[in-house]
Parts: sequence; structure tokens; C-alpha cells
Amino acid sequence: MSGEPTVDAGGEVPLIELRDVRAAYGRIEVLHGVDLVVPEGSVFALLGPNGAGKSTTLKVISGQLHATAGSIRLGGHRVNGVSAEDLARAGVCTIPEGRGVFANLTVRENLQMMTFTGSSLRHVEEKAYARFPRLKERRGQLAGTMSGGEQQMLSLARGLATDPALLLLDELSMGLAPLVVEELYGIVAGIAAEGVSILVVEQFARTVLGVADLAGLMLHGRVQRVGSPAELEAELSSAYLGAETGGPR
Amino acid sequence: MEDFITFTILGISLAATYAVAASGLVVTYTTSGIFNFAHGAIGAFGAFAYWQLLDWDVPELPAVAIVLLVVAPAVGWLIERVIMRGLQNVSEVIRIVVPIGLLFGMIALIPIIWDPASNSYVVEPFFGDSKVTIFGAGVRYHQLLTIVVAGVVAVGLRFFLFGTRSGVAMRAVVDDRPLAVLNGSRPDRSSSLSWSLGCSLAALSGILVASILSMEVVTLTFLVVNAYAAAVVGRLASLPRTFLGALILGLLQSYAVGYLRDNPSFLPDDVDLITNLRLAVPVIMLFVVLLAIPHAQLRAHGLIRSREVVPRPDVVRSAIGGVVLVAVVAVVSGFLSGSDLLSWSRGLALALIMLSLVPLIGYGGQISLAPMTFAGLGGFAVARWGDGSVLGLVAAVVLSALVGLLVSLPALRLRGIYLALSTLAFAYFVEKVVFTQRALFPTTALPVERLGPVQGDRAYMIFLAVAFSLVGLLVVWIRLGPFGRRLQAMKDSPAACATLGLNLTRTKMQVFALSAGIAGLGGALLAGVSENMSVEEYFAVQNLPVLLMAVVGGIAYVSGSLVGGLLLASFAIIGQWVPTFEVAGMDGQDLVDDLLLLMPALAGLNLGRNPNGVVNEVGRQLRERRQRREEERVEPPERFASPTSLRHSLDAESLGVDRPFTVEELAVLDRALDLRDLEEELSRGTA
Amino acid sequence: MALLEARGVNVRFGGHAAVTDADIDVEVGRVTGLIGPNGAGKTTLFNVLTGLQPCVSGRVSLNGIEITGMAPHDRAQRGLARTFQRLELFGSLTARENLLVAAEIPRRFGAPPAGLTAAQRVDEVVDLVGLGAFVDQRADELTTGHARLLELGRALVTRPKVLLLDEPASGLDADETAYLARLLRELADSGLAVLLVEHDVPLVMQVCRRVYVLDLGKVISVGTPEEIRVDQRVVDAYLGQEVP
Repeated sequence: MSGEPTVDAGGEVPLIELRDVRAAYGRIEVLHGVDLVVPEGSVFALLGPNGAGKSTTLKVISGQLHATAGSIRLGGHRVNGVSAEDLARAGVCTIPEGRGVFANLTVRENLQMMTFTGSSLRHVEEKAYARFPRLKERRGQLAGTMSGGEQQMLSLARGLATDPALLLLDELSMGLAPLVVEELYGIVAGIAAEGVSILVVEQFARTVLGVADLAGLMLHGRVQRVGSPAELEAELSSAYLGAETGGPR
Repeated sequence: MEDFITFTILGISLAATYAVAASGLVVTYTTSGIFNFAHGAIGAFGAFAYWQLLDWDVPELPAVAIVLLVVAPAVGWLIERVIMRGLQNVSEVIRIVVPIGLLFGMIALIPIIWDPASNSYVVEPFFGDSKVTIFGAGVRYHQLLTIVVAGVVAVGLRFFLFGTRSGVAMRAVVDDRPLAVLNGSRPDRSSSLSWSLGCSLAALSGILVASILSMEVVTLTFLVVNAYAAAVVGRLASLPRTFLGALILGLLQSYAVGYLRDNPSFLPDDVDLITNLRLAVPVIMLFVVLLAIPHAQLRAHGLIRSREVVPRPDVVRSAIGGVVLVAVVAVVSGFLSGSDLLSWSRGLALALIMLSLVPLIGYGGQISLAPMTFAGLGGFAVARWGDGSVLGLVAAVVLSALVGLLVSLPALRLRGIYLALSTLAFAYFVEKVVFTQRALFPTTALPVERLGPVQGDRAYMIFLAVAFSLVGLLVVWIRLGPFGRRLQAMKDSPAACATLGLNLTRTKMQVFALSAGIAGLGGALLAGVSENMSVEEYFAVQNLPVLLMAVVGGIAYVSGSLVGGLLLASFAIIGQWVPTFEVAGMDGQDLVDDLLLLMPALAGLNLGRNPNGVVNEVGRQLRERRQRREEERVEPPERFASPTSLRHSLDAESLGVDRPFTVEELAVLDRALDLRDLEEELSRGTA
Repeated sequence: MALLEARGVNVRFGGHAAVTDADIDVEVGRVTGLIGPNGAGKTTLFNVLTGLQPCVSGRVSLNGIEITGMAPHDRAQRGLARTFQRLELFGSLTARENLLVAAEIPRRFGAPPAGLTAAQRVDEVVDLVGLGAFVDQRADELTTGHARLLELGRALVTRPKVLLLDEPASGLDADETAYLARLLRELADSGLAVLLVEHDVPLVMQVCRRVYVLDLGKVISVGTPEEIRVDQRVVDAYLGQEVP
């Protein structure tokens, strides 16, 4: 565990590298030493039951929560303590849990908010409307009055239209019907195809396994296993439902 | 008919001024969560700045432009940057009190810059006195201009907030601040912008009314209180509804002046209801509108970690403190001259009134802006029924407590800033309708007889110290008993209290009555100091410095009230003690006076840094010093003395690092400081 | 009839249906579980039961008496007590004072056993739950484990008939969770009706006799832990359906 960033065999610096990261809400420590490496250009699924620390890990990477120990590197640069807005402007696009839209702003105004990362409004609108024609129909409507799926599309439009280097997705599927989730992940796959690295936090394990190249299983504030999605699937059901054999406790 | 049109146009023009002022309030409140009590004072500052430019022969239009586009935005930016940005993780009380501190700062500052004695400040209305006749009614161009300006402000704000990216970002911050951050917008910048915009609007309203009212700081400052009702119609959030509120208010006020002339014949001759009600229209409207706000849903918010500490008092130590206070006062009072004796006695009485806020705000978290009003009721009771007997004091407590109970009934549904505004509305209502009622107050100062055995000034001061100590002890005793626990619990988590079966409404009513009762007693004793109950001392405005200094002293401490009361009284006293001297040709006395005027404001503004008040701050420093001294006294272990203490001081801040250490960095540091070996040695020693 | 009953509860937030037609029975002498993935509406349903959240339609009754429109404190007076997912302790009071506040609230129904002062009832709960080690510490300085136990103790001091626990095991370590499981079973055996919302599914499976599974605001399955474990709908809700 040196201070230098890890360099893999091909000489490439991983896009995300967490080393022994700890984080706490007040005095309650939630991450107890997270190690995580996400190679550039990959789609990494971070899976695990509730309370395992997945969302917290994502908050630490996006700068919303500062680590109490450990190092966070993005593209080889140490970013401990960098503010969330600076990271956002540097190309880290975070779609938070729940509805990542401004409910009292219109669709178009929501898109306008996406221009703080440097893209022009025209560019954002073009890209968003091309991918989601439904948003164009509703551009004058308040985002909060749209259906859950449409809202999630709008929030995902930020990942699409601002050309980020890294996309962080927190529980995209929360509270949505399976068909909608399917459609959304189709779009995520499309963004991945453009070369954007993606870290997905999910509870709906199987949904994500079709999209992800790599997966990590998080339990009790640590990444316990990293492997191919298929490898992890068996372990997952025991982690969630606590089957008699091989439960986490 | 002509009258009607005149009054309507007058009302609309009044409404226009309110609308401009109220929209500024709303813009800052929605983006920063701070209700700017200093809004009117900033408006006054804008008006004086405008006068100054005119005085320097700048033509009207450029002068307006400079004030609105340069001076006011700069003031707003500075206020946000220096004062308001520090107000994160502080309680509602601090968020209310800091702008009050700012208000007094501005009121003190403006006459220092623009000395009322050295000049007569007059601003002519725009277009002078020229009038136009509309449906037979003569209307000044200035009034029409005001209406046009309000329209332009409405359209301009609408365009800014909906048509520009900065405006959209401002609304986005209100909607979901963390998400705005994730979008890469800068919420801090939005806050600065909203304060600049708010101050510009304040200055605009100030310039518009300066020519109609007199150029006098306090008048201009408190005109905006009228606009509160308009802002609350928009629930401090919606601009269109704020404009609607302003329109209703302006018309109501204008028609009240026009058509409410005669008292109903059934009233006795010396009871004047109409004049008083006419003056109270804005606060009555404020109160009514507040009552229409729906009951806030109880919410679980999780364990709050505020920067404020709540001390746990101790009966024995408080009793000793009380005895010491009485002893000190008994001795010191022997050395005070007649006028100083009265001034410091006033301080003790004010401290007692501030004490009424300790259970209410400090323990229970219910904000009231009416302690002096309840005190006034107490003062009235003792003047009316006192005759030097204890019954007068009993009457003071009972009357205030009963009124407190009555006021709490409608106010209980409200929380935070709304509760504070409703109590302020009550204070203004009492001022306009009760305290100026000839039947109750034939003169503005009612004679008050002191309690039988304490006639002399010195005896009265000692008596005040005894009274403060006893009531202080009572408050401490309450805090340590079931009721105090319940209050503290209600402040920490109303939702948890309710789900444990506590009737929050009843608890709030009880504490309101208790607080009003204590304030009533304090008011009665305050009236005894000058042996006069002079109503002006209990006017609504007087609540603001009392709350401010109570919080500055420490709102959750009995001793904090004492400090607050004495501080408030001392600002008038210290000035006389400083010998006259000359500084660079300026009168030194004036300079000191000016600084003293600014003191309360500075103390209030400092609350953002230390929200726990003076008593806590002093206590903390004493504790730390004692701790340091004790640490020094401990015999250091022979060998490891220096590196161990070095290690203690090696926190991140002392090294100028503002992020957590990594294990690697610690290892590097340890090696650099030769601690690695030490640690190993220590661990070997324990093994 | 169950002690606490909810029938046809609906809650909406704007256009979003948070809870749809939920029926729940909480019975005396057993721990009833309520599980479901994130955003399923568990806490919302809980708030409906305790009166912190009004529902669009539906009915809640306690001991046969309808309490749907009642204020939270009235429900508590009738024997409903709860804990909170995010702790709602009285942070500036000590642990003992937290319990005392609850003990000192006058009870309109079911007076406390004669001869016991509030302080004595607090001592009873301190022993029962095992709070002795930290009873004089300030509540906001407690570890999560201790804080959760204190909240449980504070609910018990009110001598409830029904105890609603919102994720009492979150933030606890394995030992503390095991202790909690034992405690919950003891409480149920002593005649309390317990409703347990929990993310820790193994714990639920261990202590509950009957488990409700909530997904997208709907009760998708009810049964014993064994039945739930093999229910394909539950497995789908937790693991999601594969994208083809």
C-alpha cells in the first residue's frame, strides 16, 4: 500500500482507485476500509444488501462525503477533500438515488442546469431530445409532475449530454417497474458504448449483471469480493435472503 | 367617487412599495433560508446613499443606477460573505437573531455616516410635486412611477428567475441543494447573488419612500415590517402571491385611512378603537395570514448535531451564584451614584425579562419576539393595581401569563420564523391598540409605586438582585425537573415526543404561560426602577434588542440573561465614564459613543461564530485554561515527555491540512518525527 | 382479531404511489416482520401506523378501536410505541433522562402499576434492556448500538401494547444483533405485539413468525420465513429480473 497510484500490467492508470477508505456519518463509521479499482472504460456494478455502504462509497467518490481515512484517486489524481461541485465540473457525473431531477423546474430548466459542466444548452437539448423524444414533448412541464420513469430519464440525460469521463449511478431502479428499469439500463449500455466509465450501485442484482463487465460485492462496509458478474450471482442470493448455508454472518 | 379613486390609487402606490420591499425579502429568504430583519435598514442605507449622490450633484437617474447596481449589491454581497455564510448548522433562533444584530448595526451606522444633527436630509419626489388628474382625482407622478417600478420589478424578476441560467440555478438551489452541487453549479454563488439582489430591491423601496416619509432611519427601517404580511401571503416563497399580498395590504390600509373615521357610538368617549386599528392593519393582516398557514407535519429528522451546546445546570451552584450576585450588588451599590444606580438596576430588571426566554427558547426551542410586550402588560398591572403591595406583582404575573396563554393558542401551530413573526405581530398589535389606548394610558407614563419596604434606590437594586436570583433558581429547578426535561425533549425531537404520548400543544401552552409570567414580573420590576411605567419602553421594537442581547449572553443559561441584561444596560452607561479626549481633531467622546452604539450589533453578528453566547464562551475558555494548567502540572513521564506532547499537538489543522490523513501520510509523519520507534517501544513495553 | 390492523392503506407523494392497498396485521405475542427492497414504502407505512403520515385512504385500528385520524400522541397513549430508522433521541439529555421523559408523561389509559415511581420504572427498563453501563452518558454521545437500545428502552418505558421497530439492527455489530434478536423474542413472549421493519433479512427470518414483503408499495407476499424464502416473487423483488 504505497502512496503511488496503482499501474496495471498494460501501464494504464485505473479510473477509480480507492485504498482503505473509511467514512462516517457523525461518529457512526459506515465504511471500514474500502478497496476498489475500476478500470477505465468499464462498467462496474457495486452490489450488496442495504446498509452495506454502497451509496456511501459512491458519495465518497463524488465528493459529497469526505473520507476520514484512506486515499481516493480518480484517473491517478488524488481527490480527497475536493468539493463535489469541482468534481462535477471536472467530468464526474453523479445521478443520485431516488429522483435526480429538480421537481419544481421545467424539463428545459433541468437541462439548463446541466450546462454548468461546460456544454452549451443547445448541445444538451439536442442530445437529450434525440435519445428521449418524450422529454422534448414535455420540455415545458414541471419535472415533478412526470412519471417516475420519465423523471429518471431526465436525470439520466445528464449522463448522456454532458460528456462525462465517469458516470456514477445510485440505485437507478429504485421504486420503478421492471420494464422501465430495463429501458433505462439499455440507455446506460449505450452510454458505456461511447467509452464512458460507469460505476453502478444497485440492489436489483440480476438487472445489472447483464450490463456490467465487473462486479463487486459489498458487505458490512467493505468490498468483500470482486469478480465477473456471473460468479457473484450465487453469493448474492445468500447475502440478501440469508439462506441457511453460507449466510454472511 | 373621487375619494374612492384617490384612495385606490394611493393604495396601489403603497402596495407597489410594499411589493418591491417584500419581493426582496422573499428572494433572500428562499435562497438562503434567512429572514432578513435588516431589510428595511438596508433600504434606509440605500436611501441615504442616494441622497449622498444627489448631494454630490450626481443627476437623479445615474444616482439611482449607482445605488441599485453598485452600492446595494456590494452591501448584500458583503453581508452574505462575512455574516450569513457562517450560519450553517445553527438553530433557527440564531438565524433569526443575527439579522436582528445586523438591523441594529445598520441603525447605528447610518447616523454615524450621515449625522442627523449636521444636515437636514431631504429627497424630493421624482417629478417634484407635479400631478396628473385621473377620474377627477389628483395623483402625483411619483406615485404612478412607483406603480410602474413595481411592475417592472415583477417582470424583471420573472425574467431573471425563469429566463437566465443564474436565476434557474437560484431556484434549483432552493429545490434541491445537493443536486445543484452535483450539476456543478455553485450554490454559494447563488446565495451571494440572492443577497445582492435582495439588497438592491431593499434600496429601491427605500429610495421610493424616502421622499414620501421623512429621511429618518428608524421610520424607514420599520416601514418594511408592514411588508412582512405581503411576504407571508406568498409563504416567503411565491413572488406572484407576494405581489398579491402587497396589493391587498396597500388597499386595505388606504381604505382604512379613508373610510374608518368614526368610532362606533357604543364605545365610551375615551376609548379610541378606530385610529388604533387603522395603524394596526398590517400586523392584523400578518397575524391572520399566519393563521391560515397549514399545520406543519411532524417529521422525524434524525439525531441533530447542532453546534449549540445545551448546558445542564446545577441547583447548588446556581444557589451559590445567586447569593454571590446579591452580595456583590449589595456592596457595589454603595459606591454607585444616583443615576448609575438606576441604570444598573434597569439592567437587572432587563435581565429578569430575558430570563423569561430561557425556558421558552433556550430549553423549549419556541421562538418569541414579544418578551417586552409581556413585560409591558406586567408594568401596566403594577401601575394599575400595585399601590406598593405584593398584590401588584401577583397581578403582573397573572395578567401576563393569561395573555401569554391566549396568544399561544393560535401561535402553537406555527414553528420557527412563522412563530417568531406571529409573536412580533402580537407585539405590534398590543403597541398600537393597547399601549396607546387613552382609556388605559391617560399619559404615556403611569406612576408606579415600589414595593412597600424597598423604597430607596439602593434597596431596590438589591431587591432586584434577590428577585433575579430567586427566579433564576426557579428556572434551574424547572429545567432539572420533569417539565424541564420535557421542554428539552420537545426541542430535540418533537416527533419522538409525540410518539411517546406527549401532548405537544399542552406543553407549549404551559411554557408560553410560564415565560410570559416571568416577563410580566420583570416588566413590573422594571417599571419600579424609574417609578414610572413609560409605554415606549415596551413598544414592539424594544423586543428586538432584548432578544438579541439574551442570545448574545447565552439563551440557554440563567447567567446568560444576567450578562445580556447588564450588557444592554451598560451600553448606555459606559459612555459617560470615558473621559473626553480628542482623536485627530474628532471628538473622542463621540467616537466612543458611536462604537458603543455598534456594540450590540457586533456582539449579535459574532453569534454566527459562537452561537452559544458569552457565558458559554467565557466558561469554555476558563475550562480550557484550567485544563491546560492542570496538564502542565502533571509530571511528564521521564523519557517520552517531549515527543508525546508533540504528538498531541499534531492534529491536521495545526499542520494546515484540511483533509483527513491517510495511513501512509501518518507513517511518513511518524518517521519524520522519529515516532515510529517510540511507538514500537511503547507497544513492546505493554506486551 | 389482530391487535393492530391496517386495511387498504394508500399513500401518495405527488404523482408517486408510495403505498398501495396495504393490509397488515400485528398480533399479540409474536414478532411480525416487514421487509422489502429500498424505496418499497416500509417507513412510509410505519409513519401511517404511528400517525406521522396521513394516508389518502385506508383504515388503521388498534385493539378494535379505529385510530386512523388520531394524532400521534393519542395513539401513543393507547399503547402504540415506536423507534426510528434515523435515531430520534433527545440528544442533549442523558440516557436516563431520555427514559424519564417517557416515564413521566401522564397516561390516560392503563395507569402504571401502583407504587412504582417514574424513576423505578426507568430502572426496570434499564435492567431489562441492559442500559446500565451508559445510563448517565449524554444521548448524542452514545455509539449506534447503545443509542438503538436506548430508543428501544424509551419505547418500552411507556408500557406499550404494540411496539413498532424501524430498523433496530442497522449499525449494530454481530454480537449486538444477536442480543437484539434474543431481546425481541423475550418481549414477544411477554405478551407484546412487535412489528419489525428490518433490512437485515437473516435477523427477520430468525425472530419473526410471520413476514410481510413489500415491493413498490404493495404487499407482494405474506407467510412464515420458510415460505417467504422460496417465494419466487420475493426472490425477484430482491434480486431483480434479468434483463434479457
